[in-house]
Amino acid sequence: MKQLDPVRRAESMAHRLRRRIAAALFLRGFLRASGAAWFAAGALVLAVRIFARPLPDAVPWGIAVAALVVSAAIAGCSAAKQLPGIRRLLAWLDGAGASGGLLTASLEVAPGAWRERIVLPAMPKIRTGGAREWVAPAAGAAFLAGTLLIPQSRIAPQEHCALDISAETAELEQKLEVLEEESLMREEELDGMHAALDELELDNDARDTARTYELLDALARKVDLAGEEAGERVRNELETLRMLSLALDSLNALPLDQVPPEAAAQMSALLEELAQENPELAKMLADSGAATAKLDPGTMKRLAEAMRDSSGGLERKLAKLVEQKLLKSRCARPGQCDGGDGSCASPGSCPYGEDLATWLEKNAPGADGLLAACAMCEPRPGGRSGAGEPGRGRADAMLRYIGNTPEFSGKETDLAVAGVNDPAQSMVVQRFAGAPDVDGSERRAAAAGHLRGGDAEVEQRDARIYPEHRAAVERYFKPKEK
Amino acid sequence: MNQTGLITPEELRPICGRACRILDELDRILLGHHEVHRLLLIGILSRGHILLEGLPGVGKTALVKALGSLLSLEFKRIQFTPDLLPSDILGCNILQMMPDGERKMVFQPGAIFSNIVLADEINRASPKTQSAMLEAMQEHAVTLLGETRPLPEPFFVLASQNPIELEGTYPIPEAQLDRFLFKIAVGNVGADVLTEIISNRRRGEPPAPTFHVSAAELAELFDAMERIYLSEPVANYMARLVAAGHPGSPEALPEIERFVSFGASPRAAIALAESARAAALLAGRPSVGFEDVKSVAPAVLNHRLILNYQARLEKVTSFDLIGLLLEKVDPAGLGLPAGVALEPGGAK
Repeated sequence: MKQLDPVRRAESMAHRLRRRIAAALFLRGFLRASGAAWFAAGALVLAVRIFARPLPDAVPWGIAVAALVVSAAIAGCSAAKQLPGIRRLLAWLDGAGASGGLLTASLEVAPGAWRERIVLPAMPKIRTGGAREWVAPAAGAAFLAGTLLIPQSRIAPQEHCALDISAETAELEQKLEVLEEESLMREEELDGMHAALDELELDNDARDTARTYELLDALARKVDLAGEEAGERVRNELETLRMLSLALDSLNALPLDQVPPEAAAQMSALLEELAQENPELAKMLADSGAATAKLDPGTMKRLAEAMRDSSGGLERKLAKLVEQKLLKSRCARPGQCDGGDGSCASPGSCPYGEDLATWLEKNAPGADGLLAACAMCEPRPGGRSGAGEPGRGRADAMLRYIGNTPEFSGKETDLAVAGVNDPAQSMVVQRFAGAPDVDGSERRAAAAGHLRGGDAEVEQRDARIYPEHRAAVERYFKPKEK
Repeated sequence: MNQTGLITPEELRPICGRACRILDELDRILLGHHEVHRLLLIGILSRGHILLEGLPGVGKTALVKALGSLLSLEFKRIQFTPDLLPSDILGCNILQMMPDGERKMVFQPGAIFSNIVLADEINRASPKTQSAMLEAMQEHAVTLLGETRPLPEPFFVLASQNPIELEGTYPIPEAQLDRFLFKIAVGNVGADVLTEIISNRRRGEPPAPTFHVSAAELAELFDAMERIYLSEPVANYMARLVAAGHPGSPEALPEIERFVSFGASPRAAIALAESARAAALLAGRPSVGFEDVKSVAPAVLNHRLILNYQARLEKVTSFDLIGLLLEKVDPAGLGLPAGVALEPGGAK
């Protein structure tokens, strides 16, 4: 078997040695680079998992893979830079084999007979840092694995967890929108409430539910209170307009010769006085010219119509407030005419206040002429369309009864007996109004489901608690001790 | 014509044998100094001047005499003293009456006109006299009164100096030291060698050489030196070795930075190359190997590294630093990072 040329063998050996050195250098470089890279990647993964939630699960693993690739790239570049050339390795083999420079010389000149004297050493062992080189990368890899595998709850236990109060806040938002749309609140107050709502959503913390709900309730109360106040204002305006329209209708219904001369002037004064507090009314007066001129039947009719129209707008506002549960009832006097769901059982027929006379006494004290004129007049049958209640007459009809009933032949009055059933000492707890059942036809028609409306007269009765019954009532309502 | 480019084994073998025989003869004449003899022969083959340093009576003069006798070269000895003048070494013009009655200035050659000059206790002469040797050592010529006279070839200066009794001496300046190829320390011998000297040598007289090398044979030796091949990796190793001895160079070791004021000159690298060739020839190889460089490096570099006061303070010698250089400088120049190394014979 022919022996391979020693120079060729040396070159082959140098190539193999070079590959081994390259692998060793790459491994060493990788271990060194990865030691730092694992720690850096671990820190980055930790930071991402703590601060950048939510994020896809692939991101931390992507960081780990990137660290791996970067370490490999650095190790590859470093190994390529440090890898010795073939000539250097042959020189090393020359020195190790004690060839006395023959091997290196044979690369430059033909060695001739000296070729046989070339001695090759055994393949050398590559010595590196050993186990110490593995310490840093192992620690780094363990750290990275820990950051990747540790549960999220352990990494970020302080993560924000909010209560689901979206429905409540949405409801509040809607209420605020209604108040804003209908210009029922000042802009500054609205802004303040919006800011409070935003703050509540930010401070929403499931770990402190009591506080969150307290804040929510406080804000809801504030909004409801604002809604109540706004509703009360609307209701007052509505009552004012209706009463005024009633008064105007009453005056207009009287023949001109029966109208006390001071009544129109007092009415005009009342209108001007109320207009100072009610911009809507002021506008109506300005439009009709009633503020400056003496009221005539035509003007009064126009004003009454305008007031009724304006009342419609206020009723819509009230309906919206009721719809958003900012107001329990859109009626002027809740409890008297509620339909149960907050709507008026018969919106047009609610008795606004005790009566017109009472309202006038309250709002126009001293306007006796006007009061007398309104008392004299009969409300015209019908009224505005849709505002009356069949069988009970017009909603704005005066609660008066004139005439006899089958049970009582004279005008109904309370009889005062000394010490007993003294109306002056009694308390009105309920007031009834209904058509007089003269011949029993009303009762029969109502039983048959037929309602009668229109111009029927109205009968008023009060339910009273007299002093002698007061103790019994108090005992009844007194909480019983167990 | 040599087709291989390297001297053939057949050509090298008799020459190497002759050199080894000279070495053996030197070992026979002067006992117990084989390494000194080897370096001395390498120095002669490299045509370099050699400074021998040793205590009196260790055989320096005897060694030089024996070498001159072996090589059939003219040998002269100059005992350097403080009152020695350059003209005593170089020679001078003397007014002389010619046979025809005419008086002429005739040059009377000094002791330096010889093949081997032993400058005994060279550090005892004044600097002026020492410097008179400079041109002769470097140019192999002497210029006197504007006339340059070549010295006989081959020309070697073998100087000796006593490391003790430094009073009244003039240390050889670095410029002159650099001109010596080697500085060899001639030490004492062991008891067994002394016993042999006392037993076999009457009054210590060394035996006469049994053979002599003719001028033609010596020329053959010098010719063979020219054919010893120096490859680029080995030359690069020598260059890196010298450069590593320079403080401030990128290759310098920390110890060099700390203890060395000035490193070896380029002449040192040339001397290293020449002496490594001679070492290879003496070892019977046609090319210079790393081990040849390592074997001559201490002798070449030890007097060329100028140490600082810190080195003296810590008793660090130039030989210590050269040993460090030989240990730390990678002959192959693999440039592997720290912590990675090749261990010979570690794997199959």
